Amino acid sequence: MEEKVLQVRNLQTHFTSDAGVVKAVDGVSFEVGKGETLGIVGESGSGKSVTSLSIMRLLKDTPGKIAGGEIFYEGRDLTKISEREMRKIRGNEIAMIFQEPMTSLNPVYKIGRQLEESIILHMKLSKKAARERSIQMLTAVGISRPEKIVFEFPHQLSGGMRQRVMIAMAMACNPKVLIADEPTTALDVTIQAQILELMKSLTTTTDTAILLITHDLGVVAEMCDRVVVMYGGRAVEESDVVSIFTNPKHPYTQGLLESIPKIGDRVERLSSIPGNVPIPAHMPMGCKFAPRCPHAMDVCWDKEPSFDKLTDNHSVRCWLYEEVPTDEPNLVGSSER
Amino acid sequence: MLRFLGKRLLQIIPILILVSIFIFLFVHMIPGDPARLVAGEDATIEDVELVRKELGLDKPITEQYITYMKNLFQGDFGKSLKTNRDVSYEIGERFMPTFWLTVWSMSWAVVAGLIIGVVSATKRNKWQDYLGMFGAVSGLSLPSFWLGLMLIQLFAVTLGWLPSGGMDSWKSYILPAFTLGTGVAAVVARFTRSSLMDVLKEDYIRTGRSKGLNERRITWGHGLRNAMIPVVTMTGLQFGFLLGGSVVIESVFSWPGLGKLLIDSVAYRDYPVIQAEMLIFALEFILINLVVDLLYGILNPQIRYE
Repeated sequence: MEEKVLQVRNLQTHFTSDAGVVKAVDGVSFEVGKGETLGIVGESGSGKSVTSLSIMRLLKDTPGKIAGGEIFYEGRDLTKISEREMRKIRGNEIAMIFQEPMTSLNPVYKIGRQLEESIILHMKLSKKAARERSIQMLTAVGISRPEKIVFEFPHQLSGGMRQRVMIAMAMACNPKVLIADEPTTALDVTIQAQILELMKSLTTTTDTAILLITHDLGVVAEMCDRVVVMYGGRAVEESDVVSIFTNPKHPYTQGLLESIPKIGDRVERLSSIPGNVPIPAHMPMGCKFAPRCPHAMDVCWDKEPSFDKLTDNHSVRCWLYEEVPTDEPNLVGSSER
Repeated sequence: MLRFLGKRLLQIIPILILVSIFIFLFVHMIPGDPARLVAGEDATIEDVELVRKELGLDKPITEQYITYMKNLFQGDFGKSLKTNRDVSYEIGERFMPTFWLTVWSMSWAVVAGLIIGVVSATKRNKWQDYLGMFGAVSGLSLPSFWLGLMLIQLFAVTLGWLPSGGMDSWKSYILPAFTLGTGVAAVVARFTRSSLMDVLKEDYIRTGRSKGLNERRITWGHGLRNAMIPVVTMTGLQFGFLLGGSVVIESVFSWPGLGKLLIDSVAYRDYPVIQAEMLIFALEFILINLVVDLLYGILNPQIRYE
């Protein structure tokens, strides 16, 4: 069994608002192995971004707080360590790139300075050595004339270039884990593939694990080894990437896959999952997906199913695959598939 | 950059001409007769008319204006009606006291305002924030003349530590500079707070944190630099106002500056002095705006001067 660099166990992140406590992440668990790419998939509001911010402990400016669970990084629980120790991990051991390359760089500082900041901080290099390192990183992310770019300001670069700079920045200190929160969502389709390819090749050479947060199943197919599907702050299915696409178990995953248009199929309308993601303040009592589920049974409305293993590497949270605890299973929808 | 500067400096000339027309008209609309004031209380009507003729005040206003402008372009602001000395001499004598008072007031006010603003923004809704903003609102709401009088009462009259007025030593600066700077410090603090709070919500601040930077570096390095942009505009305007001479504060502290000169000149209907002072006031504002625009370019690299 390969070494796990990051283990998230029963993570709970709650947001306190005037309306009460919102459980944005409600008991999510997963593991990322060394050099492995784990995808976290879900619609907006499923809690996937909050999960990534929780791991980095970057919830400071939000009303959110880690309310329970553990995040183990190399044997240490990140939820327990001091802010000072956490700062040594951020940008150094675990780095992050964000969705918005246009606004993620400070507009008033030159690219070089922004890159060197973390290099000097974590690698304890001199200014000159840090400059060399940043030029090396810019070359590695495929930026031409890097020795010029270090003197330019973010507004002089395109979105794709800026995301390359963000990747260079994140990878500069050879992190063991790279968290990428929708890294290609804001980019043109042609640039998307390049950026993904770049992330893949860079992390392969350094054996860096990637936690890829996305709603794009195409990106998942391209990049990931394993996939966690999230819905309403919970993991609903987890498996290797091939099983997710060939043998999806949870009705939500099935719905997601059906809503991808397929080349060659002529359809009048693209299929979609009816309804919306539940508002966290008004979560259904039972299964969170029951109101939108084509297979919803009585039990689904009353009790939430547990997250169980179907096979060694395929878990699902659905009553369809569990012994229903009530006397008579009352099927409302059909379950042929 | 140089072209921008040259263009902006050339633009000053038409603006000043326009301003001079307005000032000239307004000054001559002030009720009261300077000729009578110059001639004296018990001068005969003939004497007054004579003085009026001597001063050129009997001519039509357009002609007076043209004569005034002709002299002005030769660097001649005219003579004070009250002291009969050159206006440039009168103003020159009063400018430096006001200038230094402004510099000292602004210096402490900007430093204090920035610190209070940053602390309030980073300790949002904690006691530091409440204390800072209580101070800022008080500083804004207290009338400055009242604050000045209270300070004189306490430090000059009761304790006898500082002089109550005049400009004799460095000690004379403390009370007026404190009084004058209070309002500015309050405005700077409030501007800095709200601007920094907005900036700290930006994505690049989160990026900074994700790099492992500490909060001090985030706030002072990444946050404040971006938050300064609106604060600089406001500070420039305040600087302009103070440079014009605070009429009220200079009177309270009998400060020999431009503000007090303006009050005296208006009381005496000293047209040439009033006009010259107003014109310099306008010029200061224009120049400060130019400096603010140049500072923008330093603070915000996205601005290009063309």
